[in-house]
Amino acid sequence: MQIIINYKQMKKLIYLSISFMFFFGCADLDLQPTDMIAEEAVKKDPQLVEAFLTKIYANAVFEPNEEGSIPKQDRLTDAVVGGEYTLMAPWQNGIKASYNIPTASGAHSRLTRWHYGNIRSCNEIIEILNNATFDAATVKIQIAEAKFLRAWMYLDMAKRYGGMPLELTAKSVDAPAEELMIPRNTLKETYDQIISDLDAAIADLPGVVIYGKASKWAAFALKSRAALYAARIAKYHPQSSNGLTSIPAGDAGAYYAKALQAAKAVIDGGKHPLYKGGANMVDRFGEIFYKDQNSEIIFAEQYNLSLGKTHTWSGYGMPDGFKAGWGSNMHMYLASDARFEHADGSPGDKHHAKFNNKVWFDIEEVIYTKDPRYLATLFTPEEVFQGREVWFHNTSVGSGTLKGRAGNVVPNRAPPRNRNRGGRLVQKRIDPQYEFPVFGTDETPYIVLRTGEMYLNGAEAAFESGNAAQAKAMINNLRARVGMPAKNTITLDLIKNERFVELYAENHRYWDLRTWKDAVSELHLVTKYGSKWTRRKSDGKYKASKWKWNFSQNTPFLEKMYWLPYGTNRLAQNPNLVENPGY
Amino acid sequence: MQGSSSWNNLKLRMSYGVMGNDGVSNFDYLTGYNISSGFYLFNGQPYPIISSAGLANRLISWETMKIANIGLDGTLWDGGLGFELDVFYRLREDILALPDSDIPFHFGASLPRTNLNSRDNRGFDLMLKHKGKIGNLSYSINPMVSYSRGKFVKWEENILPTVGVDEATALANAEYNRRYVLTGNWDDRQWGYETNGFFTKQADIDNHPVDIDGAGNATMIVGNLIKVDQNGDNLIDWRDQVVIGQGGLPKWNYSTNMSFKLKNWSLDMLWQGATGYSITFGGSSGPWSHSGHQSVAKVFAFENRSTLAANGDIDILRKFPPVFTTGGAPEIDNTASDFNRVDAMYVRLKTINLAYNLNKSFTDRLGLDSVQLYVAASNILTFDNLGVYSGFYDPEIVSGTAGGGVDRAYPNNKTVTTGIRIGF
Repeated sequence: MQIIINYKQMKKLIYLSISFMFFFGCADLDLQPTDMIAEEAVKKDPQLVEAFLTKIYANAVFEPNEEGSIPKQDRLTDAVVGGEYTLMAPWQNGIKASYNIPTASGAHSRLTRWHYGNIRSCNEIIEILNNATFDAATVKIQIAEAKFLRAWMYLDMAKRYGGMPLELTAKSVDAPAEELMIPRNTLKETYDQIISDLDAAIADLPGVVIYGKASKWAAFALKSRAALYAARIAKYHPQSSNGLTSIPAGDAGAYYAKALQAAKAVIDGGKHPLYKGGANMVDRFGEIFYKDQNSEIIFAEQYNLSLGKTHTWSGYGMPDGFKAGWGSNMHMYLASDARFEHADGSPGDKHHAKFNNKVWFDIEEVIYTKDPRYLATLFTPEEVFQGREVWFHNTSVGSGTLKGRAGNVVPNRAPPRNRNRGGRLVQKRIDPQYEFPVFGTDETPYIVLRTGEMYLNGAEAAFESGNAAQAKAMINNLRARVGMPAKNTITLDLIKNERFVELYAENHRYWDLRTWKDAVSELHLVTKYGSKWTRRKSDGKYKASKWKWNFSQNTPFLEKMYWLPYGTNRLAQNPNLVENPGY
Repeated sequence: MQGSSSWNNLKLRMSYGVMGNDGVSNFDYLTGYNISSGFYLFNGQPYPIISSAGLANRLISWETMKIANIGLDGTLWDGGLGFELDVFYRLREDILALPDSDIPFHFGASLPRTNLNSRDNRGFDLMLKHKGKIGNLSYSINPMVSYSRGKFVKWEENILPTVGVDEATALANAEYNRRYVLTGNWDDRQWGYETNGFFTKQADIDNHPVDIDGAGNATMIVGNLIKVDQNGDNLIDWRDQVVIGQGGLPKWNYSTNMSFKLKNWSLDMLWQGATGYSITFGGSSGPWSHSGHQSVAKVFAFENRSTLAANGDIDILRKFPPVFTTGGAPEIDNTASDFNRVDAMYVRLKTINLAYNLNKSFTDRLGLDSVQLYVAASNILTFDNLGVYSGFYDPEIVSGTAGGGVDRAYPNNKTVTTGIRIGF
């Protein structure tokens, strides 16, 4: 009890639970626990149902959090296995997950996720609410919230494992075996269930909710993503005989239409316009990720230092010279750099031929003419951050006292961690107000759904539905937000590239590659490079060499990895479950 | 003890007891909702959390522990030889467990815990006491040895059927049962892969007939471990795992206390040791580590390899593959294998104390009761079988760690003390 009385919001809950204890407690030696609430109480009180719903939010793993006090870099895993960037050292979990090949015993622990405990809670809540005695309007909204959350969790599993055994009621432990030992539903059935839950949520959730809760727009946005995944799988994945890892190809069109309709609903809804802060396009894009509650955020998980719920993003991300802990942990690959165009729309790799350790070039031209999203997303050599330069150069040559881009004296070498092979570090989501951040003190939200993704979902779905003009308009709207020139023609590759650029380091890429069936060609044992920079003191010019990563080369992606294994131990529990192919 | 004049004492002890163990959680017999100390943020405010307490088990009961002991104590030859022998058997029954085997994971609830499991432990302690005198030398020697090992007698788990199913299923199920079933097995089995060294050149990888990584060895690099294909299917997976070691806690502990007195001199020694446990010399380790994020002790062993190798110690070179270096010791594939695991044993001179007592006539003149000069030492001599790690790992510290986790263990200090003890 003592633990929670700090919170005003909890007082009501405490009074309630105390009063129910009087109702249900016995005066004898037969003790009742003081921290339990009787089952019947929950059915009569919307606030208790809300507290139960809140548990589901808390356990939904919107962002993978650290375990205990030792940072395990779990929130970086998706990006590393998806080939967006790599980490400082091979012992980190993301790296280990990236070279792990799943076996019949199961996939790497950082990639697996099972949500059935939370799904049962959703089912229990829906049952409670179906028999609830309080006002019908609240009941309707809470059922819709439970369905939104159930859809989130099934999607989070379906994108990993394919067709799932669909549990839609809280079964009794005494239920007959055939009711408990259900087989897996097909992947189509699984996606249809997700979409049907989201349709129910769209119908019953209000458009304006307490920030952080599921809204009508969040349900539309998640539906857009789910339908797009289903459409891609239908179109690009081969048919499986049992339907557990495929969706009939003929259904692709219908799913693309749903993805487009849902994305358009968010865009046209007007509640979540693309964030357009000040005139500086770099800041405008960067602010999306650290200005909490900006218009573009449709659904996010929040953090709050004073309440003790924090994360360690800047602790990983801050470059050497600005860090308090390790920092300099997320190193972009050269291949990822190539995907970011220059601000005039010219190809992102047009200067890469100069990275031969011979040509001296001007970083203003090579780096600082890139897409504002690139400059907002990354720390780059001599970037001015917090009024000082971020140094990356491995060595200096020649003589001279030319100052850096912020007018400071240039060190002979960058501080050590910035020389660790990448040459660029992920900056997205680091709040520039954090100075020398201590590990585990970040408060920036984790954006689960934002409007930028809706333009990309919509564009792809429109393009795949044969409506290139609509696709082009959506892509160009998104580019215009950061001042990037419009595209005259549109292709699927261009849409994919735009998605990479806009959503870089936001935990999309790995799942995009899997659903597009591009992961083998994009990831399997691809040689990866960073850049090693040398600065010339006389004129401040740089030259660069390609620097091969020595522990990120063996990222395998085998055909079977499009679907992660259930694993021997799970199969042993239910003889009707079938394993995915290849395990 | 008539007709046997050498016996001074012989005692047989037997006991049997049943105890309840209530070290179980309190309210498993109730249903309802728990109030959590956690919260979730909406609009920057903490919202309280309750969660379902799970299904209840109204029949929940205590664990029971049955203990049987047989002891035999004896003394012979007026204390020249004494012994105490204790043989024990302990059976813990009705250990609470989740009855998972009836319910698949997708059921989603934490099931009522039920009094299901039982495990046992057996062993003995033997202590001998011998004292004697040879001329002016009087001495005593007290060796002891103890042994203890446990079994899962009955465990709540999935045991897959091997009869009443088709032959292929029966074989597959038997394989699962071999690897995963605990019931009836010792509780200190460590599973992992048997290895046959590591790859030293790319050609060996290219020509290797067995698929080690599940990707046709496409991800294998020089220095990766060569895992042995136990079932001959040319693929390494869990079916190739075998018992590669024992638990981290020694099954055998032994020690000897010795004491010698000759005129003014006295010498006391305690030798102790243990065996019947395994040590894993960790691959990757936690944050308490040296460069390359290897355990400190391992890095020391690694950094000494060139010296040792120059002295002809080929073994050291077989222990450190040249891969995954980030400037420190190589990271060895951290799946469990016999490559860096040792079935350990050690004997250690735990304490030694040499003392000289000044003559009474001399101390009397100084007006003192007694004066003793002594030299004492602890942990100065250890014999172990840790091979290249010997001297870098403390086998005693490691033996105290369940699972043999060695990465963060700080070794016992060696101490030498000298002094004068004066009695007034």
